[in-house]
Amino acid sequence: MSAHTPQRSRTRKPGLLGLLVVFFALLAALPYLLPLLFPSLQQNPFLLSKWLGVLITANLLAILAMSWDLLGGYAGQISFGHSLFFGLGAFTAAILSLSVGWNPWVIIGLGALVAAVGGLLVAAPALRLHGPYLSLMTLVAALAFDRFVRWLKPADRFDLGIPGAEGTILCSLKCFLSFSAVTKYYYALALMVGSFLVLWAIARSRIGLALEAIRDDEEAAQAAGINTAKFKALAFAISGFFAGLSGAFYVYHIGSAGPSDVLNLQRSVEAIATAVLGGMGTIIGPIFGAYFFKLFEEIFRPLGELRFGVLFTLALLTLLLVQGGLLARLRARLGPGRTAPSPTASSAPTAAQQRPPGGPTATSASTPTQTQTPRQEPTEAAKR
Amino acid sequence: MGGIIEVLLLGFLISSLYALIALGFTMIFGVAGVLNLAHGAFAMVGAYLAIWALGWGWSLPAAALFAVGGMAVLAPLVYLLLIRPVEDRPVIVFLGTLLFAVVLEQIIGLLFSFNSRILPPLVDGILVVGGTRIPYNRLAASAIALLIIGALWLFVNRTRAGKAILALSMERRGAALVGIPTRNIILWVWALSGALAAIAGLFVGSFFGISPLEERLLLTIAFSTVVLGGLGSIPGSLWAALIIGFSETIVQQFAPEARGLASLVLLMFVLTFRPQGLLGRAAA
Repeated sequence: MSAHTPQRSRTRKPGLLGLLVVFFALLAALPYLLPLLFPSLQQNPFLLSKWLGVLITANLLAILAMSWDLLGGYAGQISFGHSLFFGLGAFTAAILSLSVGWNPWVIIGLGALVAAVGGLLVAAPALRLHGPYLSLMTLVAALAFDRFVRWLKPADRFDLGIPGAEGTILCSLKCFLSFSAVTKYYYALALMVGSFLVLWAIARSRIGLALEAIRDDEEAAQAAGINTAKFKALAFAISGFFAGLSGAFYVYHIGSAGPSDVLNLQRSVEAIATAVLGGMGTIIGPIFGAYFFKLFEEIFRPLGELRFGVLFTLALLTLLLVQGGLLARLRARLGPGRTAPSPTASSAPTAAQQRPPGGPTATSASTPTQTQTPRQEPTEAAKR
Repeated sequence: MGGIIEVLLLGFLISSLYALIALGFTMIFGVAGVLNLAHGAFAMVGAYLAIWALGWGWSLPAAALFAVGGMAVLAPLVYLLLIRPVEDRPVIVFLGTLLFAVVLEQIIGLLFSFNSRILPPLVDGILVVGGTRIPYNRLAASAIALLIIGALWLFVNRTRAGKAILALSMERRGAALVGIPTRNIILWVWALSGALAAIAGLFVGSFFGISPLEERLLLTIAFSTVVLGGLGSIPGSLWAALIIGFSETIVQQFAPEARGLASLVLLMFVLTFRPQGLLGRAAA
């Protein structure tokens, strides 16, 4: 039942890395491939830069969702406030680009560092919090920062504020990386691939192992000698760093930082949905999730708001069916000949849903062939 | 100037509304062990059920009853179809209810619109206290909130079904062992929670108006109140509602520009220094 142990079994296959290299190469070739595939882009350079813009936001969403995944998927610390780290990076970048005007990459790095410090600040109280208390802490921190920015109105202190928009700093004159959409796309892609490599390395190192141990059972991890406080704080800092990196680059992409944009809770929700769509606890999954999310959003633009409904429904279904293990249970129910439309196929979903909540005895009794049952029992026993 | 009386009255009014929003949320956690992040969405959907019924030309009381009854049916259904299959995995439930809430936002937004709608007040008229105009509607909301809290207390502590709920909240397995039909009770608690959410949604809709995205604010209020009081503790939630309501009112009165920030900062402090909330996880 691969659905229960996605990352370990899947990522150890050597073929995956090769596949990944091909995928990244394909992404790198996109600015040249797209006009070949869609002749309409050849005639209209604006259309091409529009689509490259979509891909840039997909890369930024991928970085944000990967940073969420390290904290949520690996360490099991569900953050509802990733907009805070994104916003910290964004506002730092906007303010620095207006006040000191250093090299953009220095400023983007500083934005990420400030967000990492923000991650540590959130982690300080969060170290004593668990589960929902921790999630609320992150949510409250994000909301409080949003209110704080609106209250401070940083735009008033910089000439380039957007009139009427509370606290929005406009820096488009001072913060641009390049006039060329293609160059900007490559910057974003490089940033995404770099972030991925670092996060992937961290997730597969001893740090990642410790984080997974904390996720599965914090007390057991502590008993095994893992300094849980240290690793949780580290996870918050790393996650904050990359979320801030994404936010800082975002400012250099769109040219402004406003609380209702960069600090919008929608960003946190999107990051979660993206990580869930691509597969939590995999780091690589969110990349595919992000591309799917942003491309779907753009392609089905005529559908209006409906497309978000579809996207979030898909994320919900992915969560319940794949992560929640319903698909695995369903398959086990249908037995080995699952491709044949047996008469039980139609009744299986309702039967699975009506099963008593987490009854390991009932599960093993009804489906003796189910391989996931022994996996379920220890967690069940530990919970009680 | 009568500033104190105003603060006391307004603080009490907003606190009782917060308590009403948080009540169903805390019950579900205390009894069923599920942190239902769709609770704000339930309140929002409840308000929209009333708007829908009003559109057919129903009278306001009938529409309100329809909304409350509708949510009392929908909430257990959501539990059965969505939550029960993954109930033993808290993180999945947590994220699942969050995503479900977002999906509900989108569905309601598509069916109605994303614009804010205002429900007519259940009670007309305005009371003037020391220069502050207070609609009777808000007083009615407080009165109803108090009535519900009182009735709930009596129900939980004095009736057999209530005691079964209490037993369930203390120890699920033990309750099952002494013959309490835990699965049915949990469904009833979901129905109750849905109904309470709908009532809260109706009042919010008639005070401030309601829009699909408004549910996030309601969820934040419920979440903050319940966590501040200590998850699963109903008395804790009531105290927390008072603290949040009054701190917001006081700040609003004396430093309006910091409104909304104060209660959040307060919440962060309490979480930092008392991570289990004010009353921890005491029995309901």
